Amino acid sequence: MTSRHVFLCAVVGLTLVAAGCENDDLFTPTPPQYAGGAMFARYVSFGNSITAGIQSFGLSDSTQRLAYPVLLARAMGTPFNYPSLNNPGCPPPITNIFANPPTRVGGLPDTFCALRSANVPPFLNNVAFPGADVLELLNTNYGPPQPPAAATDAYKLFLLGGRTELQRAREVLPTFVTVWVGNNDVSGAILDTGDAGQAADITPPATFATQYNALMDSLDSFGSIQGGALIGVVQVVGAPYVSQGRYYKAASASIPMLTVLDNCLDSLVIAPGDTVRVLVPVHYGAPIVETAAAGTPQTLDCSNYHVISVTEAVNMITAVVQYNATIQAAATARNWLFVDPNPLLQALAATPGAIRPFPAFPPDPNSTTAPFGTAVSRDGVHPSTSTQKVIAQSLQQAINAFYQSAIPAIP
Amino acid sequence: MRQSVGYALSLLIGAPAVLGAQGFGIYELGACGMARAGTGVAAPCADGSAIFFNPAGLAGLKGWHVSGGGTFIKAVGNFTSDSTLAKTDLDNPWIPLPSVYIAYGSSQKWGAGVGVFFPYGLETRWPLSFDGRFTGYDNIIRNIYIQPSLAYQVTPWLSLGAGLDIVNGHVELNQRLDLSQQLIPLPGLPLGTTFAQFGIAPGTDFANAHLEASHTKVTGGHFGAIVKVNDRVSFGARYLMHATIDYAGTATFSQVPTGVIIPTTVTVGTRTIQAGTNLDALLDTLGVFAVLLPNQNVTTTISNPEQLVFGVSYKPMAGWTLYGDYQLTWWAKRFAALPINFSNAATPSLLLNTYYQNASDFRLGAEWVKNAKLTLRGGYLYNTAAAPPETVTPLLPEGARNELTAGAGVALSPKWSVDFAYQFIKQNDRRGRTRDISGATADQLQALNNGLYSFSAHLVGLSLAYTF
Repeated sequence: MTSRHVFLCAVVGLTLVAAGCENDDLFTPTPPQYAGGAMFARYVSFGNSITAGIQSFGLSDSTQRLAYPVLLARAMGTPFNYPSLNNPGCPPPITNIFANPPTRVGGLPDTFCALRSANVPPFLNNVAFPGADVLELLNTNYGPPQPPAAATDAYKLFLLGGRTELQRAREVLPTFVTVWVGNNDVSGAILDTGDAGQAADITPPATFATQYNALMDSLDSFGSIQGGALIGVVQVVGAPYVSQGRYYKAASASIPMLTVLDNCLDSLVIAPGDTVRVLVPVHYGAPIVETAAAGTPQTLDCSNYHVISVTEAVNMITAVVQYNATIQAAATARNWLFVDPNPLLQALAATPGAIRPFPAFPPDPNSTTAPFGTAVSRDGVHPSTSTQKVIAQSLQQAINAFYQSAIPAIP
Repeated sequence: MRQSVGYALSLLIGAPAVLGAQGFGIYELGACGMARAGTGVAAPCADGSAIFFNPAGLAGLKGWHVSGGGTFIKAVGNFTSDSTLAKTDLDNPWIPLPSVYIAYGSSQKWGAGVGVFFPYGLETRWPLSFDGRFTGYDNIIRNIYIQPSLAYQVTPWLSLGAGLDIVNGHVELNQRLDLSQQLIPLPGLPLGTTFAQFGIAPGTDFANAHLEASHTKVTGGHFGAIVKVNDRVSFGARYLMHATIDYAGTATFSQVPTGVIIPTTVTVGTRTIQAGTNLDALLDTLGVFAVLLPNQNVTTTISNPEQLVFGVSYKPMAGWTLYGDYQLTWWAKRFAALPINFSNAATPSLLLNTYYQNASDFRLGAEWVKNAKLTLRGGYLYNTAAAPPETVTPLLPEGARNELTAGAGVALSPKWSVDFAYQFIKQNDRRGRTRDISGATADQLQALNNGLYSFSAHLVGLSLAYTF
């Protein structure tokens, strides 16, 4: 009798255990299966306009899907949601920056916003929003202190719903992050249509360090991140949105009505083979060139506050160097990857036609197709589609080398 | 004192729990029957619980049989998100499930009784951090059946029984509302524009909905038969009619702060909203609560399906009885959708399609009368799932289950006896979803599946019986 009892219990018990076992196949999706792939199960990209996918001062699903984190995530084989904006965009990308006002896709104004796609993902993996500086990643619900209001503030609503990048990222419990912030802590100095180059447009490096480290502390508090890549700040003085004064001087030779004063040739050698020069933002230089080309005499005086002086340029360069020291230290402290984007951009600058030192003004046909070169979109600041891909490829290789992973190549 | 009264009341009207039987059915309605895996339609326990397990079993009782007790249910489970692999644990407490039976046998042929029990019900509680809160975070269906019954022994080998079911039904649904899914109540926008299209993140709570409704009615009957082939073999069957209850009650909506500040001046339709505007104040001025979500009446209809059970009992040797039951429950016919109708025309009514499927229970039980004082019981049962793959939700993340039971009956005196039972339930892990869409098709709903539900439960039963 006892043995029969035991047998009955065993049969029933085994049936129960077999039927009740957890089944891993019930999960979808499974983590990436290549070497080191588990680290990329949930990837989140922090950043600003470049990471969000802005091209030609416009953002739409057509540009968002070409952003480097989207390409990288696809190679990683990991689910990746971005806050898709309906085409033609919010606002639509510029088609001709030299028109007044610049023309955009669909002939729509820069105030147009096509709103988010109705197909809203439950989580965002690309939490970047255009205009973000380090402080804005850090603040909760955009409380003070805040930078002055900007047109890009709309993205805080349309992309993040009034939440911060950190808040949205935390929902995902990321296992891997890329962080590319800091460009906007200095780029305001070249885009400032009031007084380009002024120190007030640049976050002091000490402040930047405090804010960046606080950001990293917040990331540490997630508790889920296994690794990351911190991307350094771009030397924005190299953006084709600003051209060295000497190129305007050279252009004046073929534009009879254009006079360029000699102060536009000011320069300072800061290292062997490294000279800092006066910089003219396109928003100031382009109307002068176009007016002169149309036959009205114009003079470019590089003492004007719209022009970035050598001193101001040196200040910007120095700030970026210090920013990047902070970022690299943060990466080292966590044994994360640090990627300096400047060698990559310098290589592009050395490629003929990739980054124009002087814009292609009308009537040059390139003025509408690639006024700043093939590596840069029509705004002179943001990467073109091809450069977004190069960035993604560069990151894929750097991540694999650093983490001994095998993320497939990005074709 | 007040606490004690409250506790006593809770025992009387205690809420049934998730993971009782298939669907939102519950079968642990007496410790004696529970210990043998709910078997006994061919030979119900002699404690009066035949009123539920087979009314025909009342025939042949002698004198009064009064029993009362309860089953305490602790469901343990979680949901694992596909997206984050984060687990959210069910928050159910130990839940008491009482049952009371009073039976009387006036002669060898006639038996009568009345029972109070909960054959249908559920309770699921989830933390407010769970994404399923937008479907329901504290959900109760409680159906009290009061069943006066009568049985007659037609012949020495055939007994028939029947009961009338008076059902008090009570439903409660507590859920959060997600602002991202709400239509923006402003003119000048394309039809169907939601807050999500202005960037509001999914999972932005802005309101709490509390829906509560109840109704009492005579719903139908419960019929049973027992065929005694000989002293060793009996067959039994019972049929519990479905109970359709039209619930009426109230829906109460309260605002939940989003904490969102509009970060930029934005034009929404015909209205310009300034940067710095508090979104919660804005919702108020848009009339979201006054116009769209005022407190109001709500109605719903839920049907408890009919049950048909066949069973056999066999006494292979002195002191031993083996039981085998099969149950079919017509969920497909009775629980294809859950309508929620609001009285305010501006509040969209809901039709939550459930697409339940008929479910089977297979039960095996055994009982060994060791001596006049002690009886040991055990059993195993398997339920198929009533919920189809598209309806595994926070309201009832139900699935196929294996269950083991064990228990004992102890005669304390010639008149008093007590029964104990323990039951362990292991539900097979099952993919499911956290969100619902009103009026969605099965394919649309299954596409929402976003994680894995894992469940088990411990049940402890205790009944005290008095015979005189």
